Amino acid sequence: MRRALPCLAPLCLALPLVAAPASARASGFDAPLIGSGQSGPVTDDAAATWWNPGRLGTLRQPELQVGAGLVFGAIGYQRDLRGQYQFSDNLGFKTPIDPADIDPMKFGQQQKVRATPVGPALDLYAAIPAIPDRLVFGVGVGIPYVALLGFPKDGPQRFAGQSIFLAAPHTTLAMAVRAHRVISIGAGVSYVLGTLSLSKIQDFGAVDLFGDSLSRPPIGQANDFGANAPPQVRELDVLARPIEIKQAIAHGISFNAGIALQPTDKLSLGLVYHHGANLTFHGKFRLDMNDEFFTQDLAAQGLQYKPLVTGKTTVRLRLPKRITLGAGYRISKRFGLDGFVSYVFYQDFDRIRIRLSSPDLAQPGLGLGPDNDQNLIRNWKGTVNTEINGRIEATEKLRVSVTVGYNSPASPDSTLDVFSPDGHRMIVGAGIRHRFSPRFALLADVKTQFIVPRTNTKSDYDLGNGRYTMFIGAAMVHGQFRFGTPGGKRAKAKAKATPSRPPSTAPQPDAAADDPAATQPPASEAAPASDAPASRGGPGVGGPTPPPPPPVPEPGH
Amino acid sequence: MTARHHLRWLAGATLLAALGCSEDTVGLPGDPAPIGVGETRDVELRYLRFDVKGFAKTNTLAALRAMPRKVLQDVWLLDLDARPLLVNALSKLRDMPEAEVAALPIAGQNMRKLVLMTPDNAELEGTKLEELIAISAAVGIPPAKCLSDLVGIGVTDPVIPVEVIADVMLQNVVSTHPNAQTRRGPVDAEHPDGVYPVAPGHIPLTLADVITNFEDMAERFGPVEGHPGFVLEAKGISVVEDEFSMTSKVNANALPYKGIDLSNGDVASVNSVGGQIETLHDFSDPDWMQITGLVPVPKVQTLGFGLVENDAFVPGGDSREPAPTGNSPGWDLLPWEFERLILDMASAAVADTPAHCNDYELGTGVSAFTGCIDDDGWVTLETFNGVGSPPPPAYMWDLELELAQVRLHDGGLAEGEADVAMTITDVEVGVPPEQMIEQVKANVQANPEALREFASLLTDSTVGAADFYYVRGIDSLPADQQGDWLFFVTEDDIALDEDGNPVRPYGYDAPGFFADPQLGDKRSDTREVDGDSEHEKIRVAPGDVLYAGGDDGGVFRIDVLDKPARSHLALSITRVR
Repeated sequence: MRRALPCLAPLCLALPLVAAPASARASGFDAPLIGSGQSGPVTDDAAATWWNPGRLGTLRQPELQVGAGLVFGAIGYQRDLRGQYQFSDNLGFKTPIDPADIDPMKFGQQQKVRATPVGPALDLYAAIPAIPDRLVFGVGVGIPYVALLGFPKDGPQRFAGQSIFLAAPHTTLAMAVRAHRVISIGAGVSYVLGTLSLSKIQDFGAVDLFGDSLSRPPIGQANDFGANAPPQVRELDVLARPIEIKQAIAHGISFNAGIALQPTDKLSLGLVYHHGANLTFHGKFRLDMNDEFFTQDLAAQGLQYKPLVTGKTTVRLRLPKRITLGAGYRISKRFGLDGFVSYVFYQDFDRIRIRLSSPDLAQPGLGLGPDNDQNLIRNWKGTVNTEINGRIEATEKLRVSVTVGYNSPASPDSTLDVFSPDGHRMIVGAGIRHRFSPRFALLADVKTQFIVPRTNTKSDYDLGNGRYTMFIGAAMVHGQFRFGTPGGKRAKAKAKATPSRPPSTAPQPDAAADDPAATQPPASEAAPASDAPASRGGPGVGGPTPPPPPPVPEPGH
Repeated sequence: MTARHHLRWLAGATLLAALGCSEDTVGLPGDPAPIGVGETRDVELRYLRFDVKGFAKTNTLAALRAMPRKVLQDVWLLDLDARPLLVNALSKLRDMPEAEVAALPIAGQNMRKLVLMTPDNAELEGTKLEELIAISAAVGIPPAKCLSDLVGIGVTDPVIPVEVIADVMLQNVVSTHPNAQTRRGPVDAEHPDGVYPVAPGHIPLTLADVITNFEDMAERFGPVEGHPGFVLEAKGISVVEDEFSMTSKVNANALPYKGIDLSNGDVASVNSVGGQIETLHDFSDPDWMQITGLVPVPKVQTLGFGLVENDAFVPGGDSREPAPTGNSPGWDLLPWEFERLILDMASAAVADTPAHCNDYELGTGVSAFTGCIDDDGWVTLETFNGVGSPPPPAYMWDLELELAQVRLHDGGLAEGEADVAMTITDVEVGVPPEQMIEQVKANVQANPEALREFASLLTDSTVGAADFYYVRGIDSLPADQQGDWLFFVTEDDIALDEDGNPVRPYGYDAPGFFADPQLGDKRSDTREVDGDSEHEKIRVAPGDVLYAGGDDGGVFRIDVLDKPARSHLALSITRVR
């Protein structure tokens, strides 16, 4: 029976965790939405705390951005068995397997499986200018990395995974210094609280320790079991042991740093570095060894597990580093574009180091101790992620934005599997922002990702061959609240001293247009109109700031 | 709550999805309850082969000693030739230092004199041969010369060599001992009582003897059932070292069969190794069995042995008849009594002595004395010209019997008080370990069935109380043996307890599978399937209905259900009474 799991975020990518080498997979597990759909490395909003802390330096007014929504998805997989397998209720352990024991029906396309995760999504970011036009603090909680999947327990993908939940929410404290009207720099420190749960069927035929223990005295049987086991000795019923890791917790520290450039009033640039984090999850595991093969049949030879082995587990992995270059350009008064290109060092995610520890794992007669270390080889590749966002100021208060993008795959064919429905990922999104007042705007975004259906025929050991489809969507609503006076009391005083101009009748392209003081220096300090920033999304999905700036609205307007 | 718990709670609360993801996928079965009359229970059996090749099972001394002694005693390794042990023991006695001799009881010292007796040191006084002393003096030759000439040996040669003594003791004492005549073994058609003969003069050696360094040697080969025994004391026997191990390579399905305990429908395991005993070892591999840790020179630190004498003086014979022994009443004694042993020893000692006569002359050249012995060992001593009174004709053993008895009682021992009991030290067993190993391998190879229980014990995989079990006739078997079979258990399938006794009685009134609940129409037989021709068995297919009796007296209906998988069999069990 297929089981849909609630999903916190849409990108259902997985972390392959198990005490087996090279069977579970994952791919890039970036969450699709951080901040609003219009947030980005050249966007002037509180979500810059994550996207580009340098961009915080352009904010002149305290801002709170709170988002909630749903993520949903549909991940499909049809396994294609291309190797030879023996009957699953057989126990041939050394090739060649007797042809009579080869299952002729275990070949070709298998039952399709699908996961349809749905779940809530939340984030919160705030920006607080401490020294007007000079120093801004940002704080926020978001979940940039998440993976959640639930597949049928008995599906053909069960050896790759049954369910997984991985989330790495970041709580970030950032600071930006506006060094010059053209440049701001910023940095943030993130506390990462990771959590991980998963379940899968562990194929002991693919476990080095198991193969080694059979090959050594006292059993001393040459066998093909282990990480490099051929399909002929894999996926045997007796060696298929369910394992769960539940709510493992990791604590980590990360940081980001960014530069925001405003060379002209139409062009914004940003360069950001995210360091990623080393995470060591600590949790508990449950390994079902309740098969008489493991519990009693070979007890005299030293193989005797408890039916249920429980213990502690540690899982070590690294969230990847990334470098992002963003740019925004205000093409016209009502239309602007911005985007970014990231290179994500997913090659950091080359392996997952797992340790299962339990006195009940020890098999002294076979030379096995209480600790079971496994390296799950991932061999992911660095990915290029890019998005372009176009914005149209439909009315004075309404902005419409459209996003398209592309992410290159992280998982190579060799390690692709159902927990990493990865591929050439296309991104399409749309959003609106309606500014009800200078202090409040509502942003609604829908963003979807899908991969070009990927057919894999080069999976190592035939583990992940087949056809993959993936669709993930996120629908979020963000409330954007601004407080106080742009630029502080001094700016307010100056604004009062400046004669008012007649209100502009033209729709303003971004929040800055609504409230230029929120992101621009006072007129006396402002750069020439041509230098006004073109920012993407956020409070200002980057339209050009038309010179001269509109009148500063009165508080409460 | 600890800070760590707070963090976990925080993570769980923040990440709501985690709650939805939580689901146990690991569970454990409960204990089965007895099946009531009319109750039905479905059971699935699996046939799984773990075919090991050259699987080397090493058993250390500690592991072996932990096994039931009864089983180890049934693992016959070899019949140990006792002759070297006896020869060594007698040689030790012969060569014993004088200080130790003094510590022997008088009978023991006298016995030692007999072993050492030569024509030169023979004390003929008080016997019929005493006259030889006077005759020899008359003819001017030493009595020893006269005696040695008569038996055809040198004057310092033993009258009865140690080897002869040993052979006779093997024949008369060892071979007649009840525990050295037979040993236990597997019951088969040729040995329906499970009793096997032991080679004469040999001691049956079991695995229990080896691993215990023959700790019960004196008990087994001491006095028993009227036999005086030939080992009165045995201490410090060293056969194996602490590093002893016995490794055997096996080719077998190492997994047990899966069967059903009809009483509760529980899946139980039946050791499969016993059923594969014929093919268990690859005897073409010279290393199919390796034994290490036997001491280079097996020894007995303290060995006490003895002989019993008849309570009466037993005269030698005086007639050639009945041939070939003569008429000494000693021949009618039990073979292990001292007097009978002397007769046999003396008889054996002169068996190869050719017929001859020695003529002794006086200084005048006149023949004075003639001593002859013929091919039968009949001794004739004649004197001429009034030179002494020679003993009457007799067999040589008759003369020696008298001599031995007299000498045994030297020191004032009365008849019946000269039972011999001696203790000697550091006696080599006399069989080198390499020879023992080769004999063990040869014996086990010739009769691997002897290892059935032992081999089954090594895998020790019988669990529960299966009444029958499932075997899939694999594709490599002949067509009429392929398919799904149910095997009814035999007595050999019952597990053994720590003492080597069956954990449950074989309480089946009607073993096998039947077509009717009265268990009158048997459908199973013992045809050969996968090398087995001992178990009642029947091939089954979906839809079949059978009946079988459990060991609790219940009768059960067995419905064969559709096959769940190639090597699985689904059954429905209903208790009908």
